[in-house]
Amino acid sequence: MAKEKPVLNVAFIGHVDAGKSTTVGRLLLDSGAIDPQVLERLKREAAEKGKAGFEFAYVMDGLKEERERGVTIDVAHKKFESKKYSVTIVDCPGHRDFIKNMITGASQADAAILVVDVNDAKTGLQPQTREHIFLIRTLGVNQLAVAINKMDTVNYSEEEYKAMKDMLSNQLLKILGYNPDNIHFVPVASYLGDNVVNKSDKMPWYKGPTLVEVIDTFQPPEKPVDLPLRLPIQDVYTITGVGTVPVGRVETGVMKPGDKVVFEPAGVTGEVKSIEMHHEQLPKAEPGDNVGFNVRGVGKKDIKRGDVVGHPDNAPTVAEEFTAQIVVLQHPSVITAGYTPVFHAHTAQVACTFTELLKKLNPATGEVKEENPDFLKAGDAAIVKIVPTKPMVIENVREIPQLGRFAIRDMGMTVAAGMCIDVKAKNK
Amino acid sequence: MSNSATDTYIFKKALKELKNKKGKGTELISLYIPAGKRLSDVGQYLREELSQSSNIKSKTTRKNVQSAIEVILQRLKLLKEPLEKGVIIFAGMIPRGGPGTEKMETYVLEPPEPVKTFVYRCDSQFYTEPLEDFIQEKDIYGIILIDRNEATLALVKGKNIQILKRLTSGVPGKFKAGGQSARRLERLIDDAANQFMVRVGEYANEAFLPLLQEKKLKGILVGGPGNTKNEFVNKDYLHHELKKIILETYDLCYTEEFGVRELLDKASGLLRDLDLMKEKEVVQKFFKELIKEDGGLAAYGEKEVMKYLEMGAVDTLIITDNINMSRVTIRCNNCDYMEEMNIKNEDIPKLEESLKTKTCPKCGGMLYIDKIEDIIEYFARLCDESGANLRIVSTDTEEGSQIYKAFKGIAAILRYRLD
Ligand SMILES: Nc1nc2c(ncn2[C@@H]2O[C@H](COP(=O)(O)OP(=O)(O)OP(=O)(O)O)[C@@H](O)[C@H]2O)c(=O)[nH]1
Ligand SMILES: [Mg+2]
Repeated sequence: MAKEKPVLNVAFIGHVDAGKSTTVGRLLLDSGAIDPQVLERLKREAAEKGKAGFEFAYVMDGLKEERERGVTIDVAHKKFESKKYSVTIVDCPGHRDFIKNMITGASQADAAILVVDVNDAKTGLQPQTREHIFLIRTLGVNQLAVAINKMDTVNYSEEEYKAMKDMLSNQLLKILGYNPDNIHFVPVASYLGDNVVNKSDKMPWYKGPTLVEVIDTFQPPEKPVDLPLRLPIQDVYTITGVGTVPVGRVETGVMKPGDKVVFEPAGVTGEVKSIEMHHEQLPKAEPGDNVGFNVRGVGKKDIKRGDVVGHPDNAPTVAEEFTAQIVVLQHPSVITAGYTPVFHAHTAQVACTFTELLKKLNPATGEVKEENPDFLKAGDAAIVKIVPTKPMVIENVREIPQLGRFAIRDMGMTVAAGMCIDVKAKNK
Repeated sequence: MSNSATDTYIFKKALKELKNKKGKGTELISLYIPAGKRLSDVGQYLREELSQSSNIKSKTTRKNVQSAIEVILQRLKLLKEPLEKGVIIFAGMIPRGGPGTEKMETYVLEPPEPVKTFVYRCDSQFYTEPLEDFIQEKDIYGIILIDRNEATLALVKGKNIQILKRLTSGVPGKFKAGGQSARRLERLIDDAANQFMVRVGEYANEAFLPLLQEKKLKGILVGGPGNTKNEFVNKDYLHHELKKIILETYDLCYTEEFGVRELLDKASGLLRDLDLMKEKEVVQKFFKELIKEDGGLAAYGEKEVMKYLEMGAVDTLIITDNINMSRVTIRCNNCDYMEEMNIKNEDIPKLEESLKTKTCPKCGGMLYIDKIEDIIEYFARLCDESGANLRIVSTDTEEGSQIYKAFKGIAAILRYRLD
């Protein structure tokens, strides 16, 4: 079947319990992407499990453990049609223990919707509200909107909405270089359905678009079809009668059935037999398509999350060492040579060692402030040399920007962000 | 505090040197005297060995064994009773180069822990195995990281983190594959998860039970994201003896190697006494000073730190154990001119060479190297004099390797700073 509308991947991000999954569930129901009967069934199941109120979240939270605990653990994808787009929703977990999954999800997004609980204005910004915004910024997701949720719990008060909007703008968005005037802040009550798809009659003071309308204000993603094929693997399945089915989003290039492909750093090759998106066969997969594909000659055990698919004549670059430009966002101590935190790039997470600090830069101008600094601290920008402790794929950001960015995490937080500006390849 | 660290360092260094020494024949004597043993008894024993040795056929070996025993008998007289931890003595003729270069060498070591059994050995090498036991880490913690997808088993001992095993589960994820019913998928997931935990349990039993039997395993720490770790701990996947020593479970983000680090950060209170944690703590304290606007109370680099050491302004001195430097004393063979310097061990031959062409700045006499002292021993003395703490950190740990790579192995937390 031919694709009529452009594809747009929208990640729902935000602190645990903000109502991301509920918002997504509501969005799917009210836009007709799921059957009301399904929701009735989920409502019964939620009540049985002592989780009444979670029926909308259950639409996305399919794992038993997620349903029993009422938290999202891993990302889930669902499709729905907006006026302009064929939207793939990426529902991310908000709990800090599952942030590595959130990063995987966010790395696949063209735009993000931050969901916050309006009541946070009283208690202060939640840590993962902050970290998620840091992360999408780092990963190059530049389109953002905000859903200020649970408006029902504050009597749909405009004042409370404003307080939350101001706090987010002043304490987070402006600092990171966003202009709040260019961001839609939508007051919603997802559980009840206000301003998600249907315009609410309880907030006459709000004149802006509903959440679905906001999605249509996002720009379609660029389609770098002329770049070499790069498809980072999000997960791998074996399906009886079909075989190995990796899933992931095409970042650059085009993949067609019949193509010979290589998985790096696993180094295994296979042949693409068929490509599927949302249970429909595709004649080809293009940038932005979140696909599952069946490969001949590759076992489930041979490949895993974090591997990247490419064509053998231009295989993904496995870095022996790379040079990066980084910004230290926050750090309780220092970054020095010998420091080995976790790097998250596309769907991969690998501990990497700083082997050399080459230059300290002025973060505003990019000018060199100091050659070979002894250490870096919060606020510093720098050029550094990095050696992964395990093989990983990363690309020069000037050649394949989509695979050149990364976030650095340590001590339960995102401490730095950066991009790769030179790679010494192991496999070329 | 500073003492025990240097003692261990010196002990380890001595041990390495001792292990490399070889005699010409079976003529090197090793003697382990247990705590509380009477020296007169030991003397008696040695005199018997001495008379026995007259049967040795080779003349040189006989002579060498006899003089070694006599040296030891002399040293015994210098010891004070009662011996609190016992004493270890090595003596023997060690060749320096070709034949005829042998020199008598004697080592009297105070063991870090009481000597348990009496040993007398005469061999071509010194008998050092019991010594190695002393520095073997006795407190070991087992670590199990687990979630639905993967697991890591590790050991933490002393300053070391050792990854034992990485396992992956193959538990299906969230994507619903076409044609599968939700219920069937759920059952598949449950079965796979159960099988995975069984496997992790088996590996853990295999790795940890022997250590428990040797009484080395002090406890087990479990961590991971989500509920899988609790399920693993609460059900009977682990041997009941191991279950009993689970100290704590932690919520973590990672289950790979860096998850171990995440866990250690969270368990810092519980593992306070481990060398690894002490090391982390002091290095982090140094880093926290370093990020203060004016550099805080941090100093690093050999010159800078020496300056503060000589002033007595150092609170804690941090040195990596691979620093390989010496304090060298140079003297004039004519007047009382004397000069001291810190120098990389590898540069000592160069220094010797350069002295041949240099003369004493005072009298023009010849210069020579009078003394070479391990810099850590030298620093230990300086620290003792000014009441500073000395921390010798290992480059096996991330923090230690940061001190080595970024600060050339020498850093200090100061009492005050001069501008
Ligand atoms: N009153 C009210 N409750 C809501 C609303 N939206 C969500 N909730 C409740 O908030 C709780 C958390 O909702 P989820 O959708 O699971 O939150 P989440 O952001 O997906 O949480 P994680 O995925 O675990 O990070 C549930 O009890 C929901 O019923 C709302 O508009 N009003
Ligand atoms: Mg959720």
